[in-house]
Parts: sequence; C-alpha cells; structure tokens
Amino acid sequence: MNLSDLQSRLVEWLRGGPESDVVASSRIRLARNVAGFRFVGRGSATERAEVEALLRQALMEPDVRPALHYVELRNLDQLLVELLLERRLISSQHAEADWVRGVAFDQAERVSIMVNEEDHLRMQFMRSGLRLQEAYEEADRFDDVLAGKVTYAFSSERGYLTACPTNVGTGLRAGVMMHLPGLAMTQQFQHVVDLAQESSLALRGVYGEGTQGAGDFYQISNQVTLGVGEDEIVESVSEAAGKLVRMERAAREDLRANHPEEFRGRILRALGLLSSASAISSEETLSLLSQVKLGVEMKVLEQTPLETVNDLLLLTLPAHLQTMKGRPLDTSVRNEFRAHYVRDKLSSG
Amino acid sequence: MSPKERDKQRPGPTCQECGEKRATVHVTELKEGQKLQRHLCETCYAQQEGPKFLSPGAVFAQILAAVSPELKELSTKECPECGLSYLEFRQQGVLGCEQDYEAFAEPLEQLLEQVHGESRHCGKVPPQAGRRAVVASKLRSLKHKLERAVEREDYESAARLRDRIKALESERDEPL
Repeated sequence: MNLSDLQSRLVEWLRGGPESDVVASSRIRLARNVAGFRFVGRGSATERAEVEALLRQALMEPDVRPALHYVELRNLDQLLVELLLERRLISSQHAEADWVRGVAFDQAERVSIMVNEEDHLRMQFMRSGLRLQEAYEEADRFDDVLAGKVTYAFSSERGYLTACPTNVGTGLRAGVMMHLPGLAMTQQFQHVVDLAQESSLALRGVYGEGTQGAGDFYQISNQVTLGVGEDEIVESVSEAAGKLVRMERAAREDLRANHPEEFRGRILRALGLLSSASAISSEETLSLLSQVKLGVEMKVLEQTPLETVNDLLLLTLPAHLQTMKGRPLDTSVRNEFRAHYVRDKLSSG
Repeated sequence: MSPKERDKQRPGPTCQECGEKRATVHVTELKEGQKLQRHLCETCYAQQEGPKFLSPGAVFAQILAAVSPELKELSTKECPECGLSYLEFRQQGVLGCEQDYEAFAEPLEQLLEQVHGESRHCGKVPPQAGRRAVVASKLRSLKHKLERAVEREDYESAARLRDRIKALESERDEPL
C-alpha cells in the first residue's frame, strides 16, 4: 500500500452512522502487554525490537481478521507519520516516540493496532456514529484471537497489567467523539462539563489543547478501568453520550426557535468567510467548518452537501493538505493553498 | 542603600534587642498582673524563644523529617525484576514491568483505590489465567452489581444476582 494514497480516502469517523448529526464516532481502546517483557518505557532496545517482531508476526497471521497492513514508524517520513496521526490511526505519543514501533490497520481504517506505544499493544476499534457496543464486540473478538498467539501480562487481582496504573484492570477506554456546536453557542457548555463529572467521565477537546476544542469536537471517555466490567464501562459511556446527544439537539432547536436571525447570520457568515478567504489557518477552518456543518445539518444551508463539509474537515488538516501537494509546505503557503482548496470545493460542491 | 539602612528607614518600631532590624514579632506577656510588651525582630526572637519559633521553611523541614522514614522506605524499595524504585515511579507515573504490581503492591493498592475507587479486577480474563481466575472475576463483578442493585432498592435484580453468586460459589468450591 502506498501510504500517501490514504490522503484521498474518507475516514470512518466522517462516514455517518447512528446519531451522526451529533456523534462522529465511537472508539474502543484496549491496552495489553506481553508477559515476560518489561514495559516499553523501561525495556532495552533489544527487548523492544523483540516485542515488535513478535507482535508484528502475530498480527500478520492469516486468522487475524480483518487483514491488517503493518507500517513501521521509526524510519517513516515525518509527513506520513503526521498523516497517520490526523487519521487517528496513531496517538501523538506514538508519533513522537523515537524507538522501534509500528501500527497495523485494516483497509477500512476501523481497526488500528499500535505496537510499542506506552504499552506493547494499544488496540483501537472504531465505528462511525454511536455504536460503542458494536465496536466493543469486535475488540473483544480480536483480543481473543490475539490472546491465542501471545501471553498477556495479567494478574487475577489486578487484571490486564499496564504501564500506567490508570489503565490497569480491563485496559479498556471507551470513547465517543461528538460535535457540540449548539451547546457551545448557547453558553451551556458547563452542563456538559458537569455531566462528565457526575458520571466520572473524562472530557477533552479533540483538536488542539485544553478543554475548549477547536471545531467544537469533543471526546468523552471512561476514566475508571479497574473494578468495573467491560459491559458496565461501555454502557455508562453510551448512556452519557446519549444524554449529550439530546442536550445538543435541544440546544440547536433553541437556537433555531429563539434566535433564528442570529443563528442564520452566524452560519452564513462562516460560509461566506470560507468561500472568500485568501489564506486561512487550520484552526480557523475547523471552527468555521463546524458552523457550516451545523448549518447543513439544520437545513439552513441547503446547497452545501454534507459530504463536502466532512471531506474538508479532514483534508484541510496540515498533513493531508501537504500530502495532497506531494511535499511539505511553509505555514503561509499552506494557509493560501488551504483557502484556495476550500473555496474550490465549496463552489463546486 | 544597605538592607540594614532600609530596615531603619521603614516605618514601625525597631527591635528592642539588637536595635537594628525592624521588629516584626510583638509579644504581650502578663507578669505579676502587669502587661509587658516586647517588640523584636525574627532573629532575636528565635534566639530568645528557641525552637518554639519556626519559620515556614523550618516547619516544612520538620514535617519532612517526620515522614522521611516512609519516604526513605519507598524510595529504596526497588523492583527485583526491572530495578525501578517506587519514587521513580511516582515521578514518572509509569511502571517498568509487570512485576512492579507485586513489588509495590502495598502503596499501589492505595493509589488504585484513589484512582479507580477499587483495587480488584472484575472484567475479562484471558484463557491463560484459567477457570479459577474467570470465576473469581465474575464473582467480584456480580457482587458489585448486587451492591448497586441494593443501593437502588431494585430487590428483584438483587435476588437474581444473589442466586447467581450462590451458584458460582458452589461451582468454585467443587474440586477441579
């Protein structure tokens, strides 16, 4: 596979699915380590290489389904590493590490297995829309297959042993990525924070630093991994996500019913800026696209197809843009190219 | 201007003892029914009153000395497998190997309680761990669910859970 070809493919989390007006995607992550080897951070170079070879071989066996494509990251071109990061196939920690490590992912990019991240294995299973249960079922099945090939570090008392004690036990992180522009616009974001706190869930912005994420994309996920069953974790995160979906929809309705002109004005202004800018940053693009997406979903903008907006949300990210051009670009050149590309796409639909 | 001179120029009384520094400690004592006031600087007061007067830094040092046996204990505790010390772990937040969970079982127990509210696993068990581990985990999970059902006053579910726990316990106690 030529990695730069990934650039032109749509990612799972923008494909639409149950509750996709609010929920981008559901993700299950399992952390596992191989028994008999030190954890990645403390392992020697030889040990890391041994684990990597062992896991790579196990992941490539024919009964591992879906079939995976393995990429070794250490000698990979920096731009391609960033491309994998923007597609959420790897974490930023995995992108930045300097030891032998890799990622295996399937054609649909629903499964991605990081080898030698903080733990020997960080396995991610993704579904578009609110489908955590379905994602967990696949994770569980995949995990069973792999457990037949390698011996996991496990103790009856503490469960699956992980490098960081915040992941020990089930090693399970169930996360839902949501688009919450309505709650942000109606100044109700505190309710979201409160809900996360009440249900002991973590809330963070998907893009950029801090809680106020660019483009109003947020992820909620469980914090507790020990002393609860996988089923309970999946259920509690799904339930909280369901509540947020209802809150977000109510906020959107409130905007339409009680502030129709202001609402319409904001969305039209966002579209106007995107259609006329001559240079634009990635962050500004995200926040304007967020409002345009809301406008399309709320039928304020009837001419703009949702697919175009979803495409742009991914393709205007720095590494995607540069892969499209086939070379690294300076920020200023990139901002001009981005503006040009967005204008083009919006006018052609 | 030297600090001494600056001290003298500042408003407020100078120390009755050294006559140089500014008095920042004001002591009122009752001696034979008479009110006696003294105005001293920190240094002179410390000399007169001995260890009773401690600067914040000194107070901190005392606390540290009190807990240091524990800190020392923890910092010298090392995992025989990977050589990580507990103190190193607390600095980095990451353990070195699976044996660390044994080597630091005691302090970790506390930490896990803080982070997760629990310290025992009650989820999935890999096949390698055997039937006993599966039953143990399942039992813990059912007991948690029972506790929560009782909390919600959902007695129907609680009764069902109790039956399942009994059945599993008798299965566990059967000879393998």
